[in-house]
Amino acid sequence: MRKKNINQVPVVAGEEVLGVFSYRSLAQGIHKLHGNQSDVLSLPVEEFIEDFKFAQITDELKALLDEFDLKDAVLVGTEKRLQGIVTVVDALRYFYQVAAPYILIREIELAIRELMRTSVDGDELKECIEKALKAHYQEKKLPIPACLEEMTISDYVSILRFKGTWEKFAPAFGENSNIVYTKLKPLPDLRNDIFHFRREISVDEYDGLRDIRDWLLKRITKLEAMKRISCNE
Amino acid sequence: MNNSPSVEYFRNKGLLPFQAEFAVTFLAEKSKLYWQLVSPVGTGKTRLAGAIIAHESEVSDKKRFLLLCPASLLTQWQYVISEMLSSAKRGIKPLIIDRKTYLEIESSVPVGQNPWPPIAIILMSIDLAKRDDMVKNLATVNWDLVILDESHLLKGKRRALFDHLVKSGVMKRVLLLTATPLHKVENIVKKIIKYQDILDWEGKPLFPSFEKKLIIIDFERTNEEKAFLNEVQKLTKELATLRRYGKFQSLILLRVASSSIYALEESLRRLLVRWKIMRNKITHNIPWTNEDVAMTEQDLIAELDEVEIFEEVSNTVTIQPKKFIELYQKLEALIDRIEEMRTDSKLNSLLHYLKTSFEGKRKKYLCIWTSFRNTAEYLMSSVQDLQIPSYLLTGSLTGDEKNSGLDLFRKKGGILISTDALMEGMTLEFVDECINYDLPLNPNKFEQRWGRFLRYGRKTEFHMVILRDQLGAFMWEEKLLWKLQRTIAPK
Repeated sequence: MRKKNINQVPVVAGEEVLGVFSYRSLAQGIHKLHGNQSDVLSLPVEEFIEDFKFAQITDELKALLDEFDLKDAVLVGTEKRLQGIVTVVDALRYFYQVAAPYILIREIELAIRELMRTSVDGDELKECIEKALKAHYQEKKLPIPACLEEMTISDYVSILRFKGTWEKFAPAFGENSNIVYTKLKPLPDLRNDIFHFRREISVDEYDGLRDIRDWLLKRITKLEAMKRISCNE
Repeated sequence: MNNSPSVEYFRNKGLLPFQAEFAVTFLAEKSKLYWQLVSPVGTGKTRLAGAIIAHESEVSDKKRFLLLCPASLLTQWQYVISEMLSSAKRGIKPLIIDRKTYLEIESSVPVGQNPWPPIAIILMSIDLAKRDDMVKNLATVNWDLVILDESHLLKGKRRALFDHLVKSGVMKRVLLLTATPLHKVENIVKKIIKYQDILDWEGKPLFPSFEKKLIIIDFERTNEEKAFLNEVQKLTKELATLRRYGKFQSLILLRVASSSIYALEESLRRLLVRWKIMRNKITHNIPWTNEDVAMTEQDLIAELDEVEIFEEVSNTVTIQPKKFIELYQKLEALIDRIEEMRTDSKLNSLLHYLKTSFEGKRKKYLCIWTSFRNTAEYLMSSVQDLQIPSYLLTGSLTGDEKNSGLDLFRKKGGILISTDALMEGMTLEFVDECINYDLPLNPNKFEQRWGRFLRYGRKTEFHMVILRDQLGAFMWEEKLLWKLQRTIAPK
């Protein structure tokens, strides 16, 4: 089990599942012996198996959470026809894969907002909206966003790209506006592809999102540190 | 169809006379196993090989082809071969095999059975093919024709792969393609083509001798930039002391630094992510694995969007932990400094040149050539404010995307930003100017760049433009400029 990096093994007789052998069931089995058996390795494996719940592929995962909590895995199928084992890590991997891009986009969006909020007050933000967004929204005959929460990622990028107001954001995002724009430019399309389930993003795109998130979070940490220093001075 | 190849067949495939003659001779003289075609860059080696594969797959039901090339050229090869096969009504499709697709086809056959189908055109990166397990797998079946592109790169493990396939006797015919023949192969039929030998079907030279014109734009870095560059060079020098591992990274980082500040920042960040893992291992006394080292290299190589490929470095790395932690901290500090740099003098001088260059012009075609994908993306973002139609074409595009981008550029004019990998196979005789945003290490590669522009059909003057750092920070750039100035008088 150690070699194959597995934690549970179903024990079967013919096609029938007798139970599951695991590190826990082994420990429980040894405990039950009360020191009566000195040579544990000579005992048959059935002395050390435990019952696992059988789930069907149509079962709701929520109904299995207690079982996962208790035994770290469930068997899939029936006693006569075992189809597989689902472990806590399998479920975690699946949810991570599905959720990770959404979480990254969420973290990126919140981090951009935070950096923008630190850079401008309400009036200055209004000025930025006036200069960088108003014409676009009027042309599309859509209501003009009034605050950061009403804006899209594309709006953030447009405001940051706008040369007339860039100076306000440079201390928070970094001095070179072209570098900042190159980093943020793919975000609007990528965000829409993810949130509208248009396609699965590639590994490179995922790495790119992670890099942007890390860069923005580092900028926030840096800004906070600079604020602390200036407060102490 | 007639089994014996004819010049007419290849002419109909769009080949030039020298290509058609070579293809006919190659296919007729079946007793000669090994062939090498040496012809300058941009003279259609891919199309020629594609046409040979198309002919062979049309005349026989059962053929297995293997094409090995640098990874960055795989999609280009797939596109050209598919195009050549389009007239043939056979269901055979060129298949790009990477590690993942290989595992898929391997798992689809019973254990112990070879995974290669009897009818197949397999395209594979030479660096995947040279891996020990893959070398063995490739030698389990016969290949009717093996084509090796950029065969001058047959060194080290790549050469060992070739020798193993020769020894195993699994290659029925071999065609090596290159612009610079360096490595000897016994009993090989070698055909060398020079630019002046290349004629069209009417007998006119396709590469007439055009006058080479060079424009050098000097730019001066600010003191902040100079100090920063100095720090980068110090770090790369220290890196180079870390045996081969460090030397390789040092060289790539210097090249990135010579290209653009954005590409450098991205490379340093990627390096930092890898180094963080390695630093944590040092802190917890866990030895580095081969993968730790290999991943750092792969990340750095991936930044380069060019045809050149690197031999992997030795996996045995001995580094003093204290020294490594020190370097790690310097790397972190450098990234912080980039973010606070106010000016990019090189970019500013490019933008100024573009602005004046397009002023009052009705239509103009200008190329910007870089070796780095990140630089290409940075330039694309930066030229946007100029309100000039701009197109970004990098090696990650498919053949169709590349062609439609190129068609738009041809139609509307403007700025085409591209990388080395994408320039492969392009004919740009209509372009007025090419700005080299960074320069290659190898002067021959720069020489070959002219060939994309100075060719048959050119009706206007053409200038090569180089941005020269007055600081003279990078040795290879200085050497190349010195050589160019001796041979070509600047405008």
